[in-house]
Amino acid sequence: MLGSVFTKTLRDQRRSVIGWLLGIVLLIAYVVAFWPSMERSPALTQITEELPEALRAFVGGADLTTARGFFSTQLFAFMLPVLVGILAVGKGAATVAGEEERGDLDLLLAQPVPRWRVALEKAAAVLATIAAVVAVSCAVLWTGIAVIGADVTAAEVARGMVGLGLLGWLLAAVALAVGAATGHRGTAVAAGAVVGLLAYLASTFARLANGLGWLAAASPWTWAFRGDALGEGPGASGVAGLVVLTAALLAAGIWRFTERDVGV
Amino acid sequence: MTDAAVNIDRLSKRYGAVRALTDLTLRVESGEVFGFLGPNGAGKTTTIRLLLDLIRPTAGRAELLGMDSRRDAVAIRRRTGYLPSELALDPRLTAGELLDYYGHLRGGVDTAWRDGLVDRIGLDPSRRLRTLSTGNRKKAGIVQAFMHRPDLVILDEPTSGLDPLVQRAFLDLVREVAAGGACVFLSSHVLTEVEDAADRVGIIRAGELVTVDTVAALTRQAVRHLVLRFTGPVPAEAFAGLDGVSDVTVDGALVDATVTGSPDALVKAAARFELADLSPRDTELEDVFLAFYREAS
Ligand SMILES: Nc1ncnc2c1ncn2[C@@H]1O[C@H](COP(=O)(O)OP(=O)(O)O)[C@@H](O)[C@H]1O
Ligand SMILES: [Mg+2]
Repeated sequence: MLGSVFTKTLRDQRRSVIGWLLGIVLLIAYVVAFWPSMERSPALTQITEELPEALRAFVGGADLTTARGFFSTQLFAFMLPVLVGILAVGKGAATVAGEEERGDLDLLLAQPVPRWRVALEKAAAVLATIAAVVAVSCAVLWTGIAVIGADVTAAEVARGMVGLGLLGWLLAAVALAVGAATGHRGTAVAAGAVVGLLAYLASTFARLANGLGWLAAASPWTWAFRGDALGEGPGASGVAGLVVLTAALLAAGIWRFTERDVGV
Repeated sequence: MTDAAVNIDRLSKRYGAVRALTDLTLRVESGEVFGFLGPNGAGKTTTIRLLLDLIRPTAGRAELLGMDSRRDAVAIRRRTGYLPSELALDPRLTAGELLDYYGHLRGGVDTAWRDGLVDRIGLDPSRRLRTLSTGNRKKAGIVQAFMHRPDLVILDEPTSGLDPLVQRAFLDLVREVAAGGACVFLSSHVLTEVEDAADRVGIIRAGELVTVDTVAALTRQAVRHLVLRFTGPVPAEAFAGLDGVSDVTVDGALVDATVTGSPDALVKAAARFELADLSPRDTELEDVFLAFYREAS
């Protein structure tokens, strides 16, 4: 684990990631365990039918009476993106800006590794960590669904998880890029949090308001999940948009990092 | 002519209105131990971090080992060891893991040489860096700076925080690698910490290089405060007008004198009385400056 900047960064993250993963797994297990009783409850069907169309959009736009809609809403409309988002922003801000503030970036950058490469390997490690967390979440959700025999396919679970992972990547990239460009961890966390919050608000509230559809369409949150995370998922355009934006942010942040004074 | 190990040409760094370094021009040869001295805030760290391409100059340039500090930064770092002054190391690693990590990033190091360094400096590689004192962390930093047999070693205040025994082992190491042809560039704010090891010393103050000279020549200009305590009162006239002695105050049995260069005249004057104690204060760098400025004015 000490052979490269990439593996060392993975190692740095492993302990706190295990904690996050545990929380995410518990959430998934809890929601999955709930479905069998919800499915048999006529009240739910009734409530859903009585919900105004606009409000239904607010909870993710999915049909709560189907297992697919239920999991889309309960897991992907808010809870999982928030958990993964906090992890992503935290790691993105910690890995360059955090180390710079702590001071140990100085000696690392005095090793014979180009500065851009140090940042790139660190970014890759953060993205790999998020991918691993989402992959485990995907396996856990799919296993849970198989155990209770809910009517959701593996492809649908994978679809939602791809959107979740890519949204996590984007938020990590925002924090990492701002941290690499400024050297300030607080600024990096704030940037990631603001982007995440605005993306969420734009995706949900704008969909409720007439004439603000363009705003919802511009939100990366919408790109990741569209109306229904498991039913629709990000689609090819959503994947492309999130990946390109992530890459562009990282490229810009790393470029600034190579140009500026470190540790001042 | 071969390339100098360090060749700095009118290097300047400003932070807004703050001139951290102004027009530094300096040449240090391979095989030389160079002491870079100056009080806190003089610009030593700024210079060193410019050389390592951690910060970028406002003007001027530097060549290390014949390569441009900006363009060839990676190639330079391959052959350079560095010890930062505010040494921050990943607290979760053990000292040994830290050496392994940086060793890997350097594409492997001679482990026999590295382990020899660990022994000489007295570093316990199994201890987690979090649990080490500042002095012991500094040992890890020193081993790390020398472990790949660099041709140029840049050390920012290496001796501060080290206990005297380790300081000696460290200075021996410095002399040894210099004898082997490497250039050692070390900063300090206390002359006594580097005068034994340095061939030449440069003094920097407020971002400007004041003087560069051999340690012997600087000590000749150095000002020392000596406090002499006699067993009984001594006459003030006995200490008046002595060669190289100024600012003498005689207060009963206590004599306080400022000596420039050799204390010979003062000691001979004192020998006529019964001396209870003679205590030189440290040669503070500030005093070397004072001597220099006096001469200049
Ligand atoms: N990032 C910075 N921003 C503003 N001023 C700085 C910065 N870094 C250093 N300085 C100033 O530059 C001068 C030289 O500092 P430094 O090189 O750290 O001195 P030394 O290492 O000799 O103690 C000081 O006056 C310091 O306050
Ligand atoms: Mg300093």
